[in-house]
Amino acid sequence: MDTSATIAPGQTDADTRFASWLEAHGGIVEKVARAHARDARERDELRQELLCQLWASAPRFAGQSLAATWIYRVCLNTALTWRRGTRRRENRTDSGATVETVPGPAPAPDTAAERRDLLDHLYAALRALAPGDRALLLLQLDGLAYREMANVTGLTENHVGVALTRARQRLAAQMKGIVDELE
Amino acid sequence: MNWNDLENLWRNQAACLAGPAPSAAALADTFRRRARRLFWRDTIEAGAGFAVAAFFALMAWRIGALNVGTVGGIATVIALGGFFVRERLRVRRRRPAFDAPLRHHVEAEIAEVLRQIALLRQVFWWYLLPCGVAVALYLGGLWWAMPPHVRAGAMGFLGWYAAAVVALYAGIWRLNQRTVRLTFEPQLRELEAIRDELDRAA
Repeated sequence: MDTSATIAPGQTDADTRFASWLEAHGGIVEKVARAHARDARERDELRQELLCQLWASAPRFAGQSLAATWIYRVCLNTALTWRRGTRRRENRTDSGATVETVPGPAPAPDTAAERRDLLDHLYAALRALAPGDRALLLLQLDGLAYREMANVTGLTENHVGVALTRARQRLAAQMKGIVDELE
Repeated sequence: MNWNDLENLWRNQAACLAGPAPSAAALADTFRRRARRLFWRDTIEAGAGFAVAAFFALMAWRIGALNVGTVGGIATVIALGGFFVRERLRVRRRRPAFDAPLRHHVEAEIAEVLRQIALLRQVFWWYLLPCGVAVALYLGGLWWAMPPHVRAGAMGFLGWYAAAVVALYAGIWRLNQRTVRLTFEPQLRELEAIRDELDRAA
């Protein structure tokens, strides 16, 4: 990653914090963008939107949660609002719905290319899920604890567990034939 | 392959941004440009109403037709412009914080979409009717200021003009209801489905 986001004279504490976040947690932005955008153009658009919103919201970070948790909240909420705006633009141009299909079974990943393929399958399956399921699975895949997931989603820890079980069942259905034991 | 393998695959992705990270200055500039664009959009919309009022006030004054009717029409347009400005400022203050938990953000989005739907459904009461009243008052004032021998002839023209205005307003009303049906109601259903799905775990 280009670390040209150096601290310049006059930069605020929030700017400094933002730069360090990009260094440590920039992957969250990429993952959320890829899980919500259907093609490269949308991904670029959403990535820019996520970065703008993260920067604008940075002064609000009070340190009461982990940075990764807080960043996930901002990114997931921004993606939700962005999708609403995208649908509004699609309806206006009436370009016709893009049918989102989950590709067929992929081989077990023995090579880097196969791992990339499997990741593509996984992202396509995530995009096909409802936003709530997608959010929970993103958080679990990244290894967040139930407490942190509850912090991000606004659910209780018990509810996170129940919702996650259902989400994994739906993901398993989407990835049937590719991955055997997701539940 | 099982879930643990999938998690390992996931976490072995590159943990950084694809491409160069934008500087804080670049993002600040993007935000400033957006804010400027919104500011000028709102200013032009509100300003259009005041400009229309100023133009018709000047016209009425030039032809010696400043009376209760014309002044009432102009005042109604100015009040409508003030309503737009107030609504724009309220929208800015109401914007949800993006760092709220997802469930809260969904509720805030639902509230915003419901507000938009209510505004468009009631467009007759807060936009078309005041505009119609303003036009009627102004034309009535102009008509009253005409010499008596001209008034009878002017009634025909005013009748056609009123019919055209009514047809135009009916079209505007239908467009707004169409927007509710095709744009905002699907958004509302989607957001409510997200909320209900999250709540179903309870």
